[in-house]
Amino acid sequence: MNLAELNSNVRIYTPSNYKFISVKGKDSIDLLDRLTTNDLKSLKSMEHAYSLLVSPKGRMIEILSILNLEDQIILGCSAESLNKVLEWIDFYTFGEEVEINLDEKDYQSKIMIMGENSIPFINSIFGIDMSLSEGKSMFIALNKPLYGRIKLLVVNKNYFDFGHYEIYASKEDIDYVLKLLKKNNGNFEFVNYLNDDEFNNYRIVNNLAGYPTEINENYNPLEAGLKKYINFNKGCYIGQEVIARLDTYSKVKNRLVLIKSDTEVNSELINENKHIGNITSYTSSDFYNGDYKLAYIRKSFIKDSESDFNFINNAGSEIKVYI
Amino acid sequence: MMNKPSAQRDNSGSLTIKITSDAVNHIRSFGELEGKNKTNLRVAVKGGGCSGLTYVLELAENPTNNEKVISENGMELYVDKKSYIFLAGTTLEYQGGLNGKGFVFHNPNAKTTCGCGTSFSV
Repeated sequence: MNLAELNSNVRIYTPSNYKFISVKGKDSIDLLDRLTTNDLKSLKSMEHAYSLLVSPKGRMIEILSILNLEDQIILGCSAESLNKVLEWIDFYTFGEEVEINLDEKDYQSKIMIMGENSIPFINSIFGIDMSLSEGKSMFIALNKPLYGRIKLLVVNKNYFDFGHYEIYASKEDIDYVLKLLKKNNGNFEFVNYLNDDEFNNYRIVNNLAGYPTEINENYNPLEAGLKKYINFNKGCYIGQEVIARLDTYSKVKNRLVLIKSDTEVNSELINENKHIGNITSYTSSDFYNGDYKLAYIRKSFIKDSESDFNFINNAGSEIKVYI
Repeated sequence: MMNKPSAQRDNSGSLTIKITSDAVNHIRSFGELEGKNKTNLRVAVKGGGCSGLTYVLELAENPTNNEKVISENGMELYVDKKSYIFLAGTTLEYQGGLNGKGFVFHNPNAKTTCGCGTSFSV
């Protein structure tokens, strides 16, 4: 597998299982800042950040995509976690002036455009320079035949840190933009439209945690490789004390890694009769025979390895660990 | 005509919130420093803090519509209904002196508290 080549292509994905929540009211940012890991108080208008909901024990509830549109905050999360996220926020909301609703009008769907060429691709399709620095967003207007002008929200999100833009709009407008993209690949020869399985493969080989397989209450964000979405200077938020202690005293037990094995392996990884980790996600069988997987592996087993290494599990299968 | 606040007065004495006379004296002195003639106390909880829920103390003169009113040691405590769920049975005391922590909540609902004692989980 050539990851560099894989990531240089343009990959487009419209998740069917994604939800947007609108948060309005003067206390919105203050409340979300107290409940999540990142510094949201310095999030300016039209800026985006990822921030995690974690339990008081520092375990992950969900990663939220948070966009400040000045008059409202747009939260994004997986459809599977929606009720949990809404209940979590509701539980911790007391007298704050906030109004929280599922967005069923303006932002119902999104197109993810990933890969190193994502911005040249978007620019060539729309004919506008949409280069944005990380975490910035902009509105663009587009002419939709027989309808008029539609407004799209473009965000540089960078969860995939080699280029990752997203377009937010209503369901109908996203369908229209998707048709437009498919009709015109610009000068780009390699544009792949991913289905759910293909996106999952792509996420796995890029070692990115997903909900609920890696992002769940069994693990903390430091184990999941999501440290960049934690602000260690912002002061108190739910779970802060535990997370700060894990980081300061190097007490993080597991590390999320990409592994490869060309034979079927059990989800529990055992080496020399010791439990060393668990596989959490599998690529589909039509993608490099399903050889690539994501696993949480004990840091005591990985030690300070700075390069990839192999080990043999108890069933005799050779497993490669990518560092 | 002004609407009278419809706050509920609790005279039952069961599962109430208590405040020690020392804490009342300190709150009164804070009120005087702010030039207030009548000082009562709003006690609440908000989401956040390391353990999930943080205590809120605020000088107040009157309750709002949704607050429960508890009279204790000559002071009125105003508590909104949702906060009351997490505070019922709590005693608020004041620990002075060089090693004192100031206002301290003894909350029987708190399963864990954070290191600095300002937040708790249930």
